[in-house]
Amino acid sequence: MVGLKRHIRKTSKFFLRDNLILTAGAGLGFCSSLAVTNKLENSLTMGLGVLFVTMGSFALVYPFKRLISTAGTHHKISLLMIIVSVFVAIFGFFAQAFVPEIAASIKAYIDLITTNCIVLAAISEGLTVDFWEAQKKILKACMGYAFALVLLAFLREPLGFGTVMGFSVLPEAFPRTVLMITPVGGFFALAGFRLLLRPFLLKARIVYQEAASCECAATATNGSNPAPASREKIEISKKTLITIGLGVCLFISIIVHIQTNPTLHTQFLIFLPILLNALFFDGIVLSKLLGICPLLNKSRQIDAAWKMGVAVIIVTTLSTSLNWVIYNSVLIKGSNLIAKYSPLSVRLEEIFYLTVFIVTIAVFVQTLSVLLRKFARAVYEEMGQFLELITVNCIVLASATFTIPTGASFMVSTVTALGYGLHWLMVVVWLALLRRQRLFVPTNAWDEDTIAILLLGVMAAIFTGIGMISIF
Amino acid sequence: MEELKTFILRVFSIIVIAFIPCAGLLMVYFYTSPIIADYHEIKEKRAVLDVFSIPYRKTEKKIMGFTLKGFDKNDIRKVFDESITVEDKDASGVKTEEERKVYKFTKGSELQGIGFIRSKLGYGYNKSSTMSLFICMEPDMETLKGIEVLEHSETPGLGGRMTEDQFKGQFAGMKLKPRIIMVKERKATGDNEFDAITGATNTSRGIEAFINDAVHEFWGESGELKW
Repeated sequence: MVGLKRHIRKTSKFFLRDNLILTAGAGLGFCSSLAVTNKLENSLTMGLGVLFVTMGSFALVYPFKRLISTAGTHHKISLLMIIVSVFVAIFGFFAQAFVPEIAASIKAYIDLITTNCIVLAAISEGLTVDFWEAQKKILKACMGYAFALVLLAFLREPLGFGTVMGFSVLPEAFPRTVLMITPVGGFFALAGFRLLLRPFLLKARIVYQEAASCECAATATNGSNPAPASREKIEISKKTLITIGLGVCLFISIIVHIQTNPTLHTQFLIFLPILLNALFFDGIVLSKLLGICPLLNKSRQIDAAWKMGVAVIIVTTLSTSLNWVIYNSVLIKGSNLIAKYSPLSVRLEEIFYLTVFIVTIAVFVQTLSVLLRKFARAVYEEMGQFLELITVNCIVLASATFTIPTGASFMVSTVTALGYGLHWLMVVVWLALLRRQRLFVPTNAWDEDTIAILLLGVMAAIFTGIGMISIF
Repeated sequence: MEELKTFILRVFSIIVIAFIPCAGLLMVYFYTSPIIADYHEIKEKRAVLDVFSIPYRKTEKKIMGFTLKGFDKNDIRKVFDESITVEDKDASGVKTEEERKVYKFTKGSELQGIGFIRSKLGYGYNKSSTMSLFICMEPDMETLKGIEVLEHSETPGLGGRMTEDQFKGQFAGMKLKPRIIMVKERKATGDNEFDAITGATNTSRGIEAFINDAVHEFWGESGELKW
């Protein structure tokens, strides 16, 4: 009996200690774990995908360990992401061929394994130790991720659909809670798991209370110190008030007078719903559940939140329009050209779109930071560090992969990307403001993140409610 | 000069390292693309056959008390080729290849139904992505035979329930003239009314507008076509 008990302990330690989603202080990989867990089969596919991609790309990268570790951070990240994106494409094809129905419903999130934080974190951590040790670590991280996904799906699928793996388990009369399979339910389920599992795991000594809890509180107080200073800055002078008023009047008059120009008016009627939709109803964070890791990290301070938000808007909009041009003029035309001469049909835009998007984003961000360093030193010093991080941000890739391969026009994809960026800025600033209020007096990083996830769930509920009201 | 050198070295190393998996990717693509194409072909044909309610061979397996439903691919192809003719309409305006196709179901020499595919942007709850429907009418062009949802990005559980038979079944036998109407908070009674999905009014309204617009478009185009 003692042996069995120890065995259980060991297994649950393997899965739950330092589990990046359920128990780690600074969580990673929330995005996909929330988005795909409304069905168990989706979760299993996703877990398998992450495992395959991480192990495969690590095995490929490992021989070039020295080359990578001597290069700069940015070079390392771009190289890793390019290789990861190729492996993701391989997995995507396998999924489409062998489990087509599942692949159809989570295709968007399979693409986004590329920017899954767990993959990059596990690989770059693994590069510091020897091969088999690293593979063991990667296995642990990925199995923990898959385990968390399955756990969430076991809560959400029976409550929402009444089924597990497509077989019904609950009686017909049992009420179906539609909330659980919507994005809102994802936030609540994750926060609930994190809150409920914690005391149990602490008692079983699978996780330990962080010693750093007091340090965290110290940083929290440090964080709130500059608050009075910034509050003074916000005080509005008469001049700004007048400017804002004039701006609002101008905006309203533009909207009213735009009807006099019929071409502009039709364009406006097409793009306004798209922008509003991307901004509020189907936002990248609250409905598509992406970009959550940087959101949790950057919303600790309002200042950082603003800067990161602005950087995200700029990079998302510009890189998506750039990606559209490259996708349509290079990839599609290139494969049309190949189709003329070669007997085999090779659609470049189906094979390499992920890799090309990643390369474009990396090059664009690099160029932007070089330009800023040369011509606007002050701006670079303020924003530089945020720019470097953005390459791995899922929103930038997502706004490209969600719109461009579906054949959206240039303006539609750009407007959608702008809407996504604005949405991210709005949510991050809002969350930062809410977190400063210290609703529950958090004691450690664990609880703080959990509370932030709960708050996000409430926000998502609000926006889903707004979306139900018919405006158009 | 030094900077340029390191830059070139970096780009070169990236290309060299990325070359190996790219070769693998190409091989995987050549291996899987026929399977994927096959799946999509069968899916489309099944949707067409289901809407016209043409029977094809289905298989049922029993494993440990669960019934697994399958279907015979070759039979689907055979039935499809026998009873459905696909015509390519003349290109009028900018249309994808898919949208120019007109599906006709003939039994003997008699025309039983006409179907077409439309993909549109900005309908339903999710305004920034396309919805794709297969709409099928009786030969009088005024009565719906049924619809099939080919592609959508609505919220699962809410708007996503439009793929369920209970919702789609309402459209059989509906009158398209003057237009179809969505009703909520009461049961649909008239022969051009259908019930909204509970909790997804925007999606239902989107489908209403979608079908009306698509059908009117189709009528406008087919003015010069002879049936």
